[in-house]
This record gives sequence, C-alpha cells and structure tokens, in this order.
Amino acid sequence: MDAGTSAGGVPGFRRESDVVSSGLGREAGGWRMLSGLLADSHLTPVELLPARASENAAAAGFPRVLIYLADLQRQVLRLLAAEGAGAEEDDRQLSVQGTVAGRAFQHGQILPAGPAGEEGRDWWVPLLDGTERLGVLRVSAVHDDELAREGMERLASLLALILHSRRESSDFLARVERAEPLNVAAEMQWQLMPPRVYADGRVVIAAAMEPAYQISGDAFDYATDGPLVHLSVFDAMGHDTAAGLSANLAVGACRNARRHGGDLVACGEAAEAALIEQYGQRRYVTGILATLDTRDGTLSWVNRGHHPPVIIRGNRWTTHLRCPPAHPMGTDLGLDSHLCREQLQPGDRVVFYTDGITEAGGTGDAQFGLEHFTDFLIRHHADGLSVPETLRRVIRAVLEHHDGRLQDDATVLFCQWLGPRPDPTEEAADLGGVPEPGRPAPAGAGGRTP
Amino acid sequence: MTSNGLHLDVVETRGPLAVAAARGEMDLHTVAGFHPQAVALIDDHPYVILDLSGVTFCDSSGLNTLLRLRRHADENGGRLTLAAPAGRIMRMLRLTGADTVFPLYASVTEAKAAQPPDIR
Repeated sequence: MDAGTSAGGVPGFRRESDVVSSGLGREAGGWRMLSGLLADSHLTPVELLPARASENAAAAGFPRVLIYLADLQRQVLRLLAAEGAGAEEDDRQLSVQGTVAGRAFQHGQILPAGPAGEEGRDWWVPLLDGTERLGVLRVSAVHDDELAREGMERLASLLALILHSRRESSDFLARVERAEPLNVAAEMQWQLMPPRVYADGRVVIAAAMEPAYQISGDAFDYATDGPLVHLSVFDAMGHDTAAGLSANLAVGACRNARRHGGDLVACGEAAEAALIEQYGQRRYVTGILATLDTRDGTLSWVNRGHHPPVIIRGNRWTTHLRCPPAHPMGTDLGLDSHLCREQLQPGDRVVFYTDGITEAGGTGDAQFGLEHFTDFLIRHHADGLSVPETLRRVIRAVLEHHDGRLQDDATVLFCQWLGPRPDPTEEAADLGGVPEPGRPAPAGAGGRTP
Repeated sequence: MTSNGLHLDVVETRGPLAVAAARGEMDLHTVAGFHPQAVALIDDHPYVILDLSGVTFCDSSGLNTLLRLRRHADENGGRLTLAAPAGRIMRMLRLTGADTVFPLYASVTEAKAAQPPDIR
C-alpha cells in the first residue's frame, strides 16, 4: 500500500517533495494523509489538530492547514488556535459577510484564498460535518488541479468528523465557537439541540435560532428513525433561566417517550407530566410535535398551543396548516390532543417557527411578519441558495429588522421532503450545500477513490 | 390599583361579583405586581369579570397569569370571566386553545348577563 517506506524515518510521514512527482504518487500521498490523520485522531487533543492536520496533509501536497470555525450566530469565522499563537491578529476572526472565506462558507464552494505563487496557492475549503456547516479550512496547496480539490475536500470531511467527535469534551472548541458570552439557557440549549443541518436523499432539515447567545425558552428538535423523521419546536413561557429549564424538560420528556415507542400525543403528554411534576402549573411550554413519513409524505402533527406550521409548495403557494390546539404543555387545561394529518408533495417545505419570527418588537407595527418571512424563504430558494444559507440569511434579516435586539427568541425549523429514497442525490447535495467534489457519483461511474 | 405598566381598576363590586378592568401591557415584568392584586380581588369576590379591552400587549407570562387567576377563582368556588379581549390577546387565547377554557364574552355587559342568577 505504501510505496514510500524508503523515505525512512517516521512511518506514515513523508516529505511533500517525495510525492509530487506522479499522479500515482499523489494518490498515495492523499491516502497517507487520511490514514495518518485517522491514526492520530484517537489521541490528539483538539488544540493540536491544526498541527497534526498540517503534518499529515503535507504528504498530499498541503503543507499548511488552518481551521476556522463559524461562531454560533454564523456571522464570523474564528481561527482554531491558542491565544497569541499562529496567525496575525487580523486573521483570527473573519466576517462571513463580505470576505472570500465567508463566501466559501455561505456557498459551500472551494475558493482561492490568494493569488497563485511559486509554492502553490491557499484555498478556502468548506468544513462540513454531514451537512452541518462547521466553518472553513485555509489550505496551502502545492498543486492546482482537480486532484488537489478532491484531496482538500476529503481532508475537510475527515477534519469535520474529528472536530465533531471532540465537541462534547472540549471547552476550547466551545470558546472558539462563541464570539460573545452565552447566557445559561443558551449554554444548555445548544448542548441539547441536534446539529442545525441534516440532509439525506429523503429530507433536508435546517434550523436557525436567534438571539443565539441569549436564548430564553425556545428549542428545536429533530431525529430520523428508519423512514420516519420527527420534527418539533418548543417555546417555553418567560425569558429567564427557568424558561430554558422548562424547554429542556419538554424536549427530554418528549424524546424519552418517543424512544420508548410513544406516539406524538404521548410525547406531548409526557412533556406535560414532567412540567407539572416540576413546576406545578406555574410554567408551560407550547410546541408543535410532528412526524414525517418519508415513504409517502404524510405529515402527522399535534398542536400544543403553538403557531401551526406553514407549507411552501413550489415558489408561490403557501398554506397555514390547521389543527385544533390542545392546551400548552404544563397547563393541564384538559383539552384533547388531535393528531392531524397533511399529505405533502415531493419538494414541499414545512416551516415551523416561534413567536420571535413574526411578533418580536412589541405592538405589531414593526413586525417582520409571517408573510415577509415566507416571501424571503421563497425568494432565496429561487436564487438557488442552499437551505442552511437561506435560513442563515432569513434569521439575520429578522435580527436586523429589530436592530439586532429581539424581545423574544426567534426560531425556525425547516424540513423539505424530497422523496422516499434515502440514497444520496444531487438534489439533496445542492439543498444541503455540499461542495462539488463531495457529490455522490452518478450510478455506475467508478470513483477514483484509492 | 396600579403596577408598573399594567393597571387593575375595580369598576364595580356586588357581593361575590367584581368587575375589574386591566389596562396596559401584560408581560413578565408587569404581571409581578398585577398578579397579587388580582388574587386579593378574587379572595374577596370569587366571581370576577376581567375587562381586557385596555390590554395592548400580552406575552406568555401574561397568559400564564390569566391561567393562574382562573385556577385561583375555581379553587375559591368562583369563576374568572374574560370580557372584550383586544386583538393581540385574543390571538394568543385562540392559539393556545385557552379561548375554550375561559368563559369569554365580547363585552362586560354580556359577561354580566352570563353570570349565575344568584351572582348577578
């Protein structure tokens, strides 16, 4: 497998000059980069990941790798490096808006980070964990060709997986991802909620929440389960830490019921019981609990005193679903839960949202408005932007509309049903924002993977 | 009776019945002062008609206060009746299904007419 043991010294590590001579040598170098990083991944603290990445990637013609992570608000990209180490101060934090790095992040494209020089060129490479956009890499590449682009994309895919695996155990990562201090509820909620983007051949799911650093009682949840996709949004009353706690409780109770085979009605009842047990009837949580059956596009849902979801079909038609509300979870008002059903068509987008999206700002005149919001979604969808980028922009627009200060959490959970087959498709890749070289190979086309 | 930004004016009391009007914005900050005043009113007059026509804003804490007062009235053998909720608060009541658990009337006059005969 490894043609280069003659290089001597440390196994698995070769000087870049050893491998640039032939295409075959570069394929082997690419393989060694990935296998070296995989081997290192077991025992490498995340602080040392950029150094290990650079060492291993040198074998594939990428002598320097820098990792930038998007902040929670997706407005800046922050260098993963210890204070004072590495890059110039100016390069430690880059804006997503108006920079090339930001464009690579927004559009999921590999873009040049500077002019070509004698030793090659630097590139911005999107960093995707699944379809969750973690940030970008800055990669110095000796070569400028398709093989180099493929190599960078593979490097980014592997680094994203390693970064993800360290997420739960690293305060360093948590600090890099925050450009501002979080409140306690935000600290809890971001830990609680699933990644903000998910896609496969059947669905594209994306979520956004503001104010990302100062959450009170909102939470979203989704999960796949065979052909089923569970989707829910929650809005706990109040704007204090207890609101965050109630939201956590509702999500936890609901997941627990679901994972033990409970249906949507049972989920809502479990959340209600947990809230009443903890808070008497002093705290409540509203929410929509839904399940999409991706085999036939049936959306089942229960309304617990919340805004009904909106369906967007094609680029014009929207409808607000109707379902008699059961009382908010935790109020014990005795209203029955109705399981409502809606037949989706392939391509339909279901949008769940909370108060802050339409009502923040108080008395009503200054509302962003649900119509404005759905128009915005439709327009950017027509522009061909990926779903996560569209949501990033819409939530930013909501925020700007309120001069950066929301009175209430604004959450949107978006799910597009593509069809019944889970296999990767070009459509899912487009909507999920997967960069070109990472696209699924057309059926029958042999890949060049070693 | 006032609290910061949300006022409770007692318009009329007769035996167990009281008619009171809430005025202002009902949110996390304003309900803190409002709630004990309303509880005290219910303690004295368990049948309360609350005129909401002057409530210009209501968030989840506002709704929660109404639900708590409703329970308090029930526990005291009385009833909290809502009258003339303005657009915003009505939307909130509908959204949460709470419009079906409160006795709800378009005006104070109608709310009074709907009280049990021995209360009117």
